[in-house]
Amino acid sequence: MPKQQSQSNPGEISSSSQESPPIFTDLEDTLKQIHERLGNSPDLNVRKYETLNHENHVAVMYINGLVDKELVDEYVTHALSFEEIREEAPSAADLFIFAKEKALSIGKEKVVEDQNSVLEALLSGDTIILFDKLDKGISVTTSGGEGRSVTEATTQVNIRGPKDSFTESLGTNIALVRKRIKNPNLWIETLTMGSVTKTDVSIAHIHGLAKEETLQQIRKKLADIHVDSILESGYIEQLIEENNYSPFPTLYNTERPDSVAGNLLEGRIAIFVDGTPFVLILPATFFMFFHTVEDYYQRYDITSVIRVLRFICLLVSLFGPAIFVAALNFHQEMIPTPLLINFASQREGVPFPVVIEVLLLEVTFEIIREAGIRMPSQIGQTVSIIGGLVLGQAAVQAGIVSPAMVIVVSLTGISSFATPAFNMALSIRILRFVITFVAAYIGLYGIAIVGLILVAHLCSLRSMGVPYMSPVAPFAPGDQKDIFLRAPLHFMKTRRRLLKNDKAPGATVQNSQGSRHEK
Amino acid sequence: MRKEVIGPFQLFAMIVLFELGTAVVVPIGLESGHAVWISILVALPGGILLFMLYTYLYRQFPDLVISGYTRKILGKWIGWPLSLLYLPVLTYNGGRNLREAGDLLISSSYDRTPIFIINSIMIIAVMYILYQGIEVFSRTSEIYFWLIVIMGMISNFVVIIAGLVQFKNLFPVHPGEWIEVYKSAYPNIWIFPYGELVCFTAVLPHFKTKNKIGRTGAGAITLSALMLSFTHAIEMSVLGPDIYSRTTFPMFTMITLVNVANFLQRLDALVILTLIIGVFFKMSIYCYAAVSITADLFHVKEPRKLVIPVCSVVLYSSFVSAENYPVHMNDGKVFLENILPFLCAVIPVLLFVVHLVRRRFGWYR
Amino acid sequence: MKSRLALLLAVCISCSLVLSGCWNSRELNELAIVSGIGIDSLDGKPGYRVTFQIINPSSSSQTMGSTSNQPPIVIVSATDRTIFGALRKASRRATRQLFFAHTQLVIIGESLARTGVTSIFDIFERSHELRLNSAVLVSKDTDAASVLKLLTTLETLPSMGLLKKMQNTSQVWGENRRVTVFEVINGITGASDFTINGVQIVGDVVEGQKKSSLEQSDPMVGSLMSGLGVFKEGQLIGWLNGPESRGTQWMLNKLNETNVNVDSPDTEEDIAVNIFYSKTRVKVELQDGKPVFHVHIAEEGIINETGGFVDLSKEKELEALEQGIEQKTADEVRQAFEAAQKMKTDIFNLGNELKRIHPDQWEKVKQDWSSAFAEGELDLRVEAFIRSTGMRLKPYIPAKK
Repeated sequence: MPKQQSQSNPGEISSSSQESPPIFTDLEDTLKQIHERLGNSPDLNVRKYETLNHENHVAVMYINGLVDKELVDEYVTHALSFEEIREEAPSAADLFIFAKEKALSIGKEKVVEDQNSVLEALLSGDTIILFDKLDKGISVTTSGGEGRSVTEATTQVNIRGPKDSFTESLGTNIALVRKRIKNPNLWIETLTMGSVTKTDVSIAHIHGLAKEETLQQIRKKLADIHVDSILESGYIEQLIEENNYSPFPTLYNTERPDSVAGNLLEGRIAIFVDGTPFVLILPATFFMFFHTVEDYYQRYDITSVIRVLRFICLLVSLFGPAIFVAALNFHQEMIPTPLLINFASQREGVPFPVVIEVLLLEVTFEIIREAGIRMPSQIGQTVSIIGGLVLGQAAVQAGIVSPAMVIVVSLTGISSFATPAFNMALSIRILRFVITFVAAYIGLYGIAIVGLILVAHLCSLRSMGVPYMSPVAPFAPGDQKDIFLRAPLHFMKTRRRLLKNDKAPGATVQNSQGSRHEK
Repeated sequence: MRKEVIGPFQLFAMIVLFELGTAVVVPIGLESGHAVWISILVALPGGILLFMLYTYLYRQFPDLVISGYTRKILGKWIGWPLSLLYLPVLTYNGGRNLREAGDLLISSSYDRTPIFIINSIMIIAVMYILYQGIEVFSRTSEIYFWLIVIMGMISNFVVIIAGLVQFKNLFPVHPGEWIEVYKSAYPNIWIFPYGELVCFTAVLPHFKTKNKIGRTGAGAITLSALMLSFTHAIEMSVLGPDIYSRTTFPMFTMITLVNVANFLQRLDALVILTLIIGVFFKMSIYCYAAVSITADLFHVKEPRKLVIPVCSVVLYSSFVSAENYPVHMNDGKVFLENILPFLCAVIPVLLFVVHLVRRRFGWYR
Repeated sequence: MKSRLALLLAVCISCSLVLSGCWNSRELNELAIVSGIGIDSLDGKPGYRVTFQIINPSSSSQTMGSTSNQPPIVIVSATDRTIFGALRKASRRATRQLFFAHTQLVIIGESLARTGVTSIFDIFERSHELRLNSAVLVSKDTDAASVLKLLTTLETLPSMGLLKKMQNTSQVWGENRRVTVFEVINGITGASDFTINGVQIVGDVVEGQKKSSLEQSDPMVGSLMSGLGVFKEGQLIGWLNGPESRGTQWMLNKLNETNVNVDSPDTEEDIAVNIFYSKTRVKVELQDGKPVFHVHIAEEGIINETGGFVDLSKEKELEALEQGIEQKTADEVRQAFEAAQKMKTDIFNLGNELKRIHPDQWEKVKQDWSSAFAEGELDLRVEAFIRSTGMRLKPYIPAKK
């Protein structure tokens, strides 16, 4: 509840609206105040210099760990010890101009004129140079410091295709995308969100491809967010979603730069949040969650088969246990006789009704899964072996569950992992329980009715104005080549109907998530 | 609020689902014996003609539901009570559909479940989807259109490869039987299921591409007629005229006979699903028509508010209308022969004629 | 406020729905799966003795879990005026509810068959559990219950065993065919009469109920498919056996595959021809008030065995053999036809055919179709083709000098 947080501890740093104390001409005073306002934090580094002509005092400060130390040493401190300072900068004002115009040869520098901006700059990793006898200072962009380097994606693993993934640094992330789309039309807007955390959030789109209305909508929605912290893109996701009461995610997230690039090229919009490798992509449709970017790297026929498999897995993981329960409890006539006898003999000793058996195993499975995720990866495997093999085997031998049930539950469990998007897999998992209950209550009829309601619900969702089930409902015949199957790349020459920017001249240019660019 | 719109394919899917609705599962046109499939095709031109009539009226008054233009054409004093007639008929017929589904479900596998439960579960789904609006409904029907087509193909295919089809049950059609074919085609099959399309007068105002309406409607009706005719031909050829005429649920009986290699058997689920889906969409359209006509007649601004009351009435009428299935069927016969034609054909024709006359003589203010 | 009311309503409705229970839900271990039903008459009295063969799952399946030494089936029977009444009465002797959706076999006792079977099939149509495609058998010379009680080798479930026996023999020998409840009902309602397979017990019935009877390589008791029961107006009036029964299948176009022994130039019936395709076309018409049945049979076969020397590489020899097959087939069909005519029973669907093609002519003979059929004339044409002689042309047997 970020909003409530802001009420419980008002003020503090979120004081940009309050009157900001000026930078005093006395350097010591300013330093003292800044120290105080940061709560005498030990990570604030202040180094005081005397210039070579012994007349001016300069303080360089930065926060440890937020800055690139090398940059500070090499350029900032070094710049202040130039020989020329002696002749050219006798006074503090001169020194200021000299430093700003000549000496500092890195990145951006900015003039700061009050303490609040000093603090803000410090906290975002800038180095501040303050001058004695002068009521302003310079802030130099030196942000850097410790961060994870670009590594292989951990949540969206692939066999073929680029292996890099986003990191926690916004700059790196945007650069990773830019490297893939060397086009001036890749536009990025940055805004700061979160009144306490001051997180940088960037909206990226390709000018001319993305729909202008969608962009406007996103800008408006982001502007309407008033919270004090944005720690992950999940905050934004939950705050801008249109359907809060739906189990289905309506925003896509990824940690793969190639996926972001591909989606940008399809006319979608990406939201980068500093501090997280997960980038939001919107508008998202239901079928996006079942596609992976690798689908476009493999041959179309293979991809098509795999996609069909994924949708089968979706059905299995949603309806598997439910259909099993319905068949065993309500529609015994639908099971072939030898199989039914088989089931019947397995169930002879089992003391529970089928539903309880299913729920027992399903919940056990969820426990094993949840425990396995939080464990270190070596122990995680042990957990799944103990849980899956030993528990399952023992439960069957103890006559608590029937072997067929173990098969059904593990099959559904594995099927749910075949959904590439984890958040979608989670929602499906929850819905599976609901459907199983209904099936235990009224059998196949209940499954059919819940299915109807579910499809109706999916059809009622929208993501940034785009119907969630598009292009199947509303049906767009031209867009079917990239839904259940994938057509060969040379057939994919048109853009998605509902994502298309109708006004842009380049709107008809072929550009799928694939790599072809044709004019 | 933005006006909800539906596209040509969505309308197409809705018409097909509506037409298949209950007609695909219950025996129809019993008078024509084994030539029922011909009757269905014979009634097709009449059905299309009737739909053209509705579309003509729609083109004249693209923003109004049937009660709206009835009042425009016949004047408020005749039009209002006349359109009020639609309400009981639509709710009753919706209730009948629900009842049929409930009865068939009970007799085919839920023999111990009270019909009230079966029907209320169905009506809850209808309420939900109608509450979401016609746009969501139309999108859902697009998806289920494919599902029905695929399931229909599977079940027919399975029946055919099981070697159950005996075409000699369908041929020959003797000259004397042709008369019966026509007799069952008009008015019975003409009104049920084709004439029931009068419900779509409530949906059409949301249709956005006015110039495609004729093609879409005729295409959808033709397709559904072909599917109906084919399915009934298969049912007839498998079961023979005798069992077909005695069974309450021929499609179910047909599928229970399937046994391919001792493995593909007992596909009852497919048929039950078809029944549920068909009835669901048909009934939803009935309820929707009732809701929008009520909203129009009583000037309700937010038709959504009417969904729950109208659906409750439909639910109520579904189980109080008849005490058992035979009574239900007999009521249906009376209803089909005497009341439905009046609302499906007579009133629209009347409207059409009066409209032409008034326009010809410039009697519109 | 409104939405809260709606929510309350929804909660109330769903509670009332959920709390009121799961009506049709039945656990598998509360069910007694009935695999076969036997129906016998009560001597002289109206009503039926209905016997149920119930599967004992723990001893009829090879899976993990509790396996016991009990026999794979349990027999329960009850008597009542109606079949449904009997199956409900059987609950007094069964621990679980009888479940009929997997009933594959219906056996009718011969004595009941003789008094009439017309009324017993209604429940199969009306019930959603009982299946229309269960097979029907008539127990010959014994009651249905004894057939159901027999344990079988190879197949653990006796009903399944009988069913497979029937399918197997109709597949390769052709004297029987799988007659389902559906066909019987069509036979009862149609213009023609019908036949049902017979099943016979060889050996001691009491011994066959014991599991020990299966513990020897040559079981002392067994059942076999035997002939076709001819039903006239729902009553069993006679049996067709051997060639008559196969001729009937031929006539009905139900023959899949069979073997015909043909004469070689030297010896009688020493060449085995496997008929693997046979197609029968039937046309019926009235000529001067008498029905004429035009039957055309086309069949194809493979020579599978020769007992003497035939030069199979010669066209002439093959043609002679083909004629032999035609002759044999025609003989059998004629035998069947004559047997049916003698019983004045149209078991070949000929009445239905006439009714379908010439409804006007049917009207004339409808009243007394049985005698019209008995006077009918058979116009039989058979065409046989030998398609192959197997892996050899000439046999190794030397020609007789």
